[in-house]
Amino acid sequence: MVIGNSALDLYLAVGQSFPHADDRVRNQQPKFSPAVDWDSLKESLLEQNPPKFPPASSLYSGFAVAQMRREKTISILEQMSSQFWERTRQQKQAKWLRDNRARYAGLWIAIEGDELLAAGPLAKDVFTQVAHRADPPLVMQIESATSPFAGW
Amino acid sequence: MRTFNAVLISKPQYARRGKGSLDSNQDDQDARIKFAEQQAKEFEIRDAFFEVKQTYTSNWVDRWVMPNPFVAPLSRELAQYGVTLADFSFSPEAKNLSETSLTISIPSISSAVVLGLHQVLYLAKEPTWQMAPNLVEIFQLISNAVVRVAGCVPASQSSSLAFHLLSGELDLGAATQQWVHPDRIGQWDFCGLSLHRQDTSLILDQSSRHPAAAFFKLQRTFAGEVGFADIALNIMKDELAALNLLGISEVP
Repeated sequence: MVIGNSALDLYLAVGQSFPHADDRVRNQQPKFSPAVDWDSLKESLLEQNPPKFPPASSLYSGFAVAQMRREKTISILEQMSSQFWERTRQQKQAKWLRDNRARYAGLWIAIEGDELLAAGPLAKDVFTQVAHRADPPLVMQIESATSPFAGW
Repeated sequence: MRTFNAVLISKPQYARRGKGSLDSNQDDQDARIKFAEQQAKEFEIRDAFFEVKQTYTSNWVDRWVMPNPFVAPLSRELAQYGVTLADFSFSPEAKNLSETSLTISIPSISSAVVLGLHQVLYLAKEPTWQMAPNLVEIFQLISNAVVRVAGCVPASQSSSLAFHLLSGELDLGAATQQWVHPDRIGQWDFCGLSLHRQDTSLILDQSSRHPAAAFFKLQRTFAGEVGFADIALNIMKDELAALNLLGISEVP
């Protein structure tokens, strides 16, 4: 629903959102959607009246600052979350390699966290099996448990 | 205490007042500004308290020896945040071994961490969203250290955020009346609300501590492997959703 420019539209939009609204006013606008588009409402309040709300003193600047602060906090927390999950993935991979090194010695493997996705003697086969994945997993060859004889 | 300005996204008083003020001669722009001024109110959050409880897969009784193995690594890690050995204390009032705990105060963020024998409590007094990244960083660091020393991981986590909302002129009780049918339950000054899902619950009640205020309690459970950053993000969403119930569109 798009909030109109008139004060009456705004009044109707808000009045529609709670049961104590005036029935007479509601009946004039039977096609009103019951849900209010809060983003449009905020937009109409915040962006269409800039001259009358000096940024430094307005209560609205306080609201805008609170909103910006929240968005900044969310952005930082999302970065921290990504770093946390990446670190967790690496730790799981390291643990999986420690636990399974001997079992897959000499083979190519593809792992995501502690999950084995593919294993085989040929790199090409392993890469082919995980090629469809959006996030590339760790693909590597595990060294043989015994070192090859290099001669005297 | 958190003070903030917010735009109310719905307010019964507006409709009641608006009917008188919005006559046909009034300029639309002025009417909107008047409405905006009515809607932008100062709110205050007081006595906020945040807690995360981690319950581990097994206890660490066998590691609870003297010198306590948690003290050295945690004191090293937390030194950068101004935590000294004076901030570490063992529970003097423990009557038995199951009640024993190690408490670490972190004055710089008004927080404390309590290590029991199979669970860890992370507590923050008067937390704000601006300090959330610091809280997350320090709590995560402690959690990682506990996992290393204890040799086990959290099996589950639960968070709880409680606060009192003071609204100045706004009648919070009237805002709560939109949730109920007065013809069924009668007229009440304040209507409490209790919502529960499998992993979330919200309790909104009249504050018993502050007059004309609302009390919020938000609880949520998380899987053991979830980090504090995700816990904080989810709690922020919960807080915003809870405030939205009263028509408040922003968190401080």
